[in-house]
Parts: sequence; C-alpha cells; structure tokens
Amino acid sequence: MEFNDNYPNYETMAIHSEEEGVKVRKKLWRVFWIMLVITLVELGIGINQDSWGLTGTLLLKFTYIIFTIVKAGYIVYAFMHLGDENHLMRKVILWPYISFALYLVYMATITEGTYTRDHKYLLDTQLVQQKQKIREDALKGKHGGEEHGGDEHKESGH
Amino acid sequence: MAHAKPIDWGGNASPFASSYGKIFMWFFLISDALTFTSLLAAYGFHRHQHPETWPVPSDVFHHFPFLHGTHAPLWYVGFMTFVLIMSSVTMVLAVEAGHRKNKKGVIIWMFWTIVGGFTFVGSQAWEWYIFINGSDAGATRDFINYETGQWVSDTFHGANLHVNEYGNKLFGNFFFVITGFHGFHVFSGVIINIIVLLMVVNGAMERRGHYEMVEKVGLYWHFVDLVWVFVFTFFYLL
Repeated sequence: MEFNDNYPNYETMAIHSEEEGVKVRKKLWRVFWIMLVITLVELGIGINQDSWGLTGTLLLKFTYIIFTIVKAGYIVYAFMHLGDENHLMRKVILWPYISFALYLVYMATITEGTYTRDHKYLLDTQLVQQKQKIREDALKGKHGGEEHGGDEHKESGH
Repeated sequence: MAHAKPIDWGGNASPFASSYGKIFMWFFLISDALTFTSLLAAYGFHRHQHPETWPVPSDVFHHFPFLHGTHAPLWYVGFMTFVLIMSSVTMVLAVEAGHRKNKKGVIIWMFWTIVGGFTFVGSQAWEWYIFINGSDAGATRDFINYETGQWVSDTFHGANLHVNEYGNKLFGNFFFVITGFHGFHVFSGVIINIIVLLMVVNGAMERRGHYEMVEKVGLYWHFVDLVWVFVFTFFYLL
C-alpha cells in the first residue's frame, strides 16, 4: 500500500481574510446581544418572581431551563465554532454527551429521585428508629448510663 | 494532491477535518462536561428530596458590595454572569483575530479576557465570604448532644459543610463543591490564558504560522462560561 504523507494542515486552513473576519465578528456580536437579552430577561423574572406569584412553579422552571439550553446552544455553536465543524465531529461530540446527560437527568429527577423522595422513610428504617429512640429518651429526660450513653445508641444500630 | 473537505471519510485526511489538538481538546471538554453534569444531577436529585427545607436562592444571595444591608437579590450574580459572558466574547474575538494572524488584536482581546476572568474569580470569593459569614440575625438550631443526651440550642451564622442558616445544609455542601469546582476551572483557565498570552507576545504563534493554540484555550474558556450558564440557572434561579 502506498504511503501518503500529504496530510492536510488543518491549523492553517482555519486562517481567513479580513473581509471574512468582518462577517464573523458581526455574527459574534449578534450572538452576544442575544445572550445578554436572555440573561436580562432571566434576571428580571428572577427578581420579580415573588411579586408575580411564579416562585417554584413548574412553568417558571421550564422557562429557565429552556433559556439555559438556548444560551448553551449559542455558546457551543457560535463561540466554540461547533456549528462550523465537520458533521462527523459535531456528532461524535454531541450525541454521546446528550444521551448520557438525558439519562442522568431522567434518573435524578423522574425515576430514582421521585422514588427515594416518596419512600424516604422506608430506605433506612434502622437509622430512623435509632434517631427516634434517642429523641424519645432525651424528651423523657431518661438517659441511663451516662458514661457509655453514646456507645449504647451506636451499638443498637448494628 | 487537492484537499477538498471530505464529506465522508476516504483516508488521507482526518475524518473530523480538524487538527489532532483541537479534537482532543473537545474530548477533554466532553469528559469535563460529564463531571459537571453528574454534579448538577446529584444536586437536582437531593433538591428533589427536600423541597420543603431547600432555601430560596434569592433570599440567600441578595448582597451587593459596598451596600451593606440592601436587599438586591440576584443583582450581583447578574453582574458576575455579565462579566463571564463578556469575557467569552473577548476570547472569541481573540480567536477571530488569530484567524487573521493579527497579533496585536489577539494580545488586546486576550488581555481583556484575563481581566474578566480575575474579576469573576474575585467576585466569587466575595460571594463565598458573604455566604460563609451569613446574616446578622443568624439561625437557631436545636439538637441533641449525644454525650449528655440533652437538648441544646444555639445560634449560628452563615453556612459551611456542617450547618446552613438558610435551610437544608445540603444546599451549602453542593454550593461549595460545584461553584468551587467551577471557580477552580476559571482560575486555571486564567492561568492558561496568561501562558498563551505570553507565548503570543513572544511571537511563538507567528513562528508556527497559525494561532490555533489561542483557539484551543478559547474552547476551554467558553466551556467554563457554558458551565456557569448552568450553575447560574440551577443555583440562583430555580
């Protein structure tokens, strides 16, 4: 097989002319203004959320998350130039990351997060009982065996 | 041999039409992004567990430097966000100047990026200082002294890894770990920026014939900004 050492020099292929530079800068400043407006809207909502009665609502949460993802998209596609990269590079960067992140968010909030929240007291019954016993003893004011009072509670957990 | 950009890979070229260094900067950033995603997912998980005790961020972060006692929720963190977005813009302008081989432009824009980075790190240190010291009123907690078995009541101020006057202590733990890890990234980004700036000033990029090093450090810097966008949303807004 013929050996070919004529590998493209990608570093110098990125160099562009002054005219192209003007266009690129115009695009970058437009992205900056969009991001600034989004941030100001977010802050405006954040400062007024109590008076508008939005604190803690699902609508507000999704509004923020959508704004955040839009901003992240602008950073990655415009500032990090991923939009101008080869389509294979774009996919090899985005697809594994996005699939992992979505699965993680699904686990943390929808499945595992909700299960452990709703079954908090089933998960560590021993610890809960132990704490309850200490609490009751303290309320009653009875705590026999001052010298090894702490150890006794620790041992009852095993 | 002509090097038309390959649509699909046919050998003799990078399948990603990119230099080795840039591809691996991206791979590093993916792994770093996974770390931050895991940390933020863990934050979301625990926040989901304790909806009733979780502090409302605008009640925690409402201070502004030199204005003691004012209630200005989110204004300071808004300023920090602006500084970081602005430094991201100056960084991308430095990259663009590098594509035109404009040494002077690269130096000016990288200098402003470094100024923005230091401003951000300093702001974060101030924010930590306020959070650790807490409010004048503080909070009272009752707990059982395990040695004596007696109820004890004391007043404490601010937050650390053990207590948090504003609510659930996990909020403080995640705040310190995640913003600390992010601040560490900003700090190291500033250091790398300074090194690359010195290389540019010394003419190392001109000798190489391209400014791709600026582009690579720029990728890292934008990533730091990207993480802050998420940290800002999850810690200060939601």
